[in-house]
Amino acid sequence: MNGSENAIEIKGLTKRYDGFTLDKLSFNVPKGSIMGFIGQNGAGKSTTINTILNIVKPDEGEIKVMGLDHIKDEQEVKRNIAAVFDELPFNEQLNANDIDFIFADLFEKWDSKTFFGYLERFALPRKKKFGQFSKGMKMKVQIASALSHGAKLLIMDEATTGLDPVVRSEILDIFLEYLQDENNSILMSSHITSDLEKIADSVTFIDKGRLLLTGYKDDILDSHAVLKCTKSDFAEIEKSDFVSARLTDFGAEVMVADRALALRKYSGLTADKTTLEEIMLFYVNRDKKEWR
Amino acid sequence: MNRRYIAMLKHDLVLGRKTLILTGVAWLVCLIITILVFLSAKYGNLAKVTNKDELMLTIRVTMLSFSALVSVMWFVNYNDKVFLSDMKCGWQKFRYTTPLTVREQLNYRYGAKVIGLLLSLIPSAVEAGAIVLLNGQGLNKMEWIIMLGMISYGYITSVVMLPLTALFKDNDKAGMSSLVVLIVILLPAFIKGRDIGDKLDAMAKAKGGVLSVNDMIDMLSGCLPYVAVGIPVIMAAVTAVSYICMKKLLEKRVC
Repeated sequence: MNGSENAIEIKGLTKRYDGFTLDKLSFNVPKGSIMGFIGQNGAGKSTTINTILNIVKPDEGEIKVMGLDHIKDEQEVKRNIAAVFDELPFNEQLNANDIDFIFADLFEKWDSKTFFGYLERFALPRKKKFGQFSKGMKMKVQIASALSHGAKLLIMDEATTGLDPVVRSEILDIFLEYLQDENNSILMSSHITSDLEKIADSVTFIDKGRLLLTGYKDDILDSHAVLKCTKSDFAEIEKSDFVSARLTDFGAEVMVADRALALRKYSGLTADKTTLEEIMLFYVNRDKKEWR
Repeated sequence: MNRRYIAMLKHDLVLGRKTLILTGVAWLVCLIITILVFLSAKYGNLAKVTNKDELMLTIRVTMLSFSALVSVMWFVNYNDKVFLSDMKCGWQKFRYTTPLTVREQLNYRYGAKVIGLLLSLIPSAVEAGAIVLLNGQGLNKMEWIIMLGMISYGYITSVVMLPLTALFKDNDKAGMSSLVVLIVILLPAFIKGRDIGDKLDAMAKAKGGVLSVNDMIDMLSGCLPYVAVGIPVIMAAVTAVSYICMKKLLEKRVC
C-alpha cells in the first residue's frame, strides 16, 4: 500500500453496454473523507462501483484504489476494502454467529470483538437467521461485517435506500465514527441526498453515464444558487448563464452554477441557497433547459 | 494451507449440514436394512425362500446401487444446492469483493469434488464389506461396475452441473442442460448398449421370455474392460472441461 492522497482515483473510465455508455468518467475520492455519489436510476453509479470492485471489466480507463491498480493488485486492494450492497449478499439460512465463524478465516484482519460489538450496538440477535431479519437489520449486519475486518475503504451501493430515518441516522453516525481514523474513506452512492448533505465531504454527480459535477460538497453548494424571478426577469437571463429553469405560474426558479457571476450580472435578483437534491433535479433537466 | 479455503469449506458445511446429516442417516438406514435382510436370509424367513440365490443377488445389487448413490450424494453433491443459493443470494458477487481469487475458488470447488469422490468410496466399501461378510460371497464383476458406476455418475453429474448452475442460476435449467450433456457423453455407451440389449433380447426369447439376473450379469460382464477404461477417462475429461468453463465464467465475473 502506498501513501496516495486519494483512496480512489478514476481516470477516463469507459464501459459500453447496449444502450448505455459510462463515458470517460474521472474523479477522485480523497483519503479520509466521505464522497457522495449521486445520480438518478440508470445513471451509471452501480456500474462505476462494480467496476471499482472489478466485478465489471472496464473497456477503457484506469482505476487506482489506495494507489494500487484495481486489477493488477486486486488481492491487496480487496484486503483493504469492504463493499456494502443494497441487498444482503449472505444466505438467508445463516446467522450472525455463522458469519463470524466463516469470516474469521476469510479475512486476515477479522475482529470478532468488533463485529459482536456492532451487533450489540445495533441490538441484532446472534442466532436468528437472516431470512427473519427486517431490511434495516439486514443492512446493519452487512455494515457490521464490513467494518469488522480492518477495511480502509468502504464502498456502498445504495446502502441506505429503503431504510427508515432512524436506522439511517444510526448508520450515518457509525460512518462518522469510522472516519475518525483519517486513513479510512467512504464512497457512498445514494438517492437520498439529504443523508449525503449531512455527512459527505465531497460529491460526484453523474447522469446518463457522464460526469456532471465533482468536488467538495460545500464548494458545490456555495457556487450554485437558485434565482427566484418573475417572468419578465427570466426573459432577460441569457440561456448560457443557467443550468435549467423550473417555470412556475408566477415566473421561474433558475439554477445557476456560478452564484457570484449571476449576482453581478443580474443584481436585482435574489439568489437562494440550494440543496443537492435541487442541483440534481436541475441538472437532470438541463437538456430541456426550461421545465415545469 | 490458505485459510480462505477453510472459510469456503466452513461456509459450505454450515449451509449444507442438514443435507450432510440427512444423507448420512439415509446411508445408515440402508446399511441397517442390508444387515437385517442378510441376517434374515441366514436365519429368518428369507432362508426358507425357494429361489433364494436369485433373490439375494437382486437384493445385493439393489443395496449396493442405493448405497453407492447415497454415498456420492453425501460427499460430492451435498453442496450443489448451496452453490445455487450462493448464486441467487448475491454471495458470489460478495466473493468478488473479498481477497478470494478465482484460482482459489476453482481449487476449492473442484478439490472438494475430488476429495468427496474419494470419501464416498468409504461408505460404499463399508456397505459392500457388510454384504460380503453376511452373504459369504465376494462382489462379482457386475456388482463392482454398478457400485463404481453409480459413484462416477454422481460425480460426473455434479461436475457438469457446476458451470451450468453458475451460468443459468436456475436448478431446472442447469439440470435439463446437464442431462443433455450427459446424453452426449454417454452416447458411445448407448450405442454399445444397443448390441447388448439385442443379445439379451435373443437370450430371453431362447429361454421362454425369462431372463435371470445371473444371465444378465454374465452378459454385462463383457463390458467391464470398456467401463474400467471409459469411466476414469470420462471423469477426467468432464472435470477438465468443467474446470475450464467455470474458470471462464468466474473470470467474466458471473454473479
